[in-house]
Amino acid sequence: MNWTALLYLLGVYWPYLAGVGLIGLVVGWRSFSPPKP
Amino acid sequence: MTNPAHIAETAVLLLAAYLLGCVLGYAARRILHAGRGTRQVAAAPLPEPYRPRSTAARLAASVDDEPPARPPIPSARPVTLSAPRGGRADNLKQIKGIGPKIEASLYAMGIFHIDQIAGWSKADMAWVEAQLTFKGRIRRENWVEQAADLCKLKASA
Repeated sequence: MNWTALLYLLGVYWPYLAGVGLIGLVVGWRSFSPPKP
Repeated sequence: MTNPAHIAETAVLLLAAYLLGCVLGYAARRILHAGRGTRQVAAAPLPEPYRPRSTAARLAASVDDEPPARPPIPSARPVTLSAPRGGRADNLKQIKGIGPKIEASLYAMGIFHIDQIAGWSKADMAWVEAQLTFKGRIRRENWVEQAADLCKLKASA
């Protein structure tokens, strides 16, 4: 794996990655269902 | 930047970001819920002592309890008959509010005629209500007034 290229991509595309991460956060948050007492 | 390797790496990064978000979101909610649940348990009031629900269980449980206090039956009682005059009782169901069951109860108490009901005083009404366990119903449904009107109709006819 080319780490230089990866860091370059992270530096350029981080807003997109943050957006996708946020979407994942919402999906993960909503997928949790509290156990019934 | 049209290098296919870069595109693949970008896709992998996006996928990784998405999965990381999913895991973080799930874990965050789970941790928050667990913390809230612990607080709720700590703040929750103590549960009430077990009370059986079924009739049989309630009866069994009430053996040790004191019997429920019944309201005292007033001493003044209306004029009652041992048998209907002329061997024929009136149809007490003519009074609105009296159904077959109450009529039977009134017959059993010795109240067979509408004029008997028309002559009830407040104390008499209280006595009958106590017998029938219908608090305030005789007054609310104006049995005495209805009976008096029926008597007037009968007299004028």
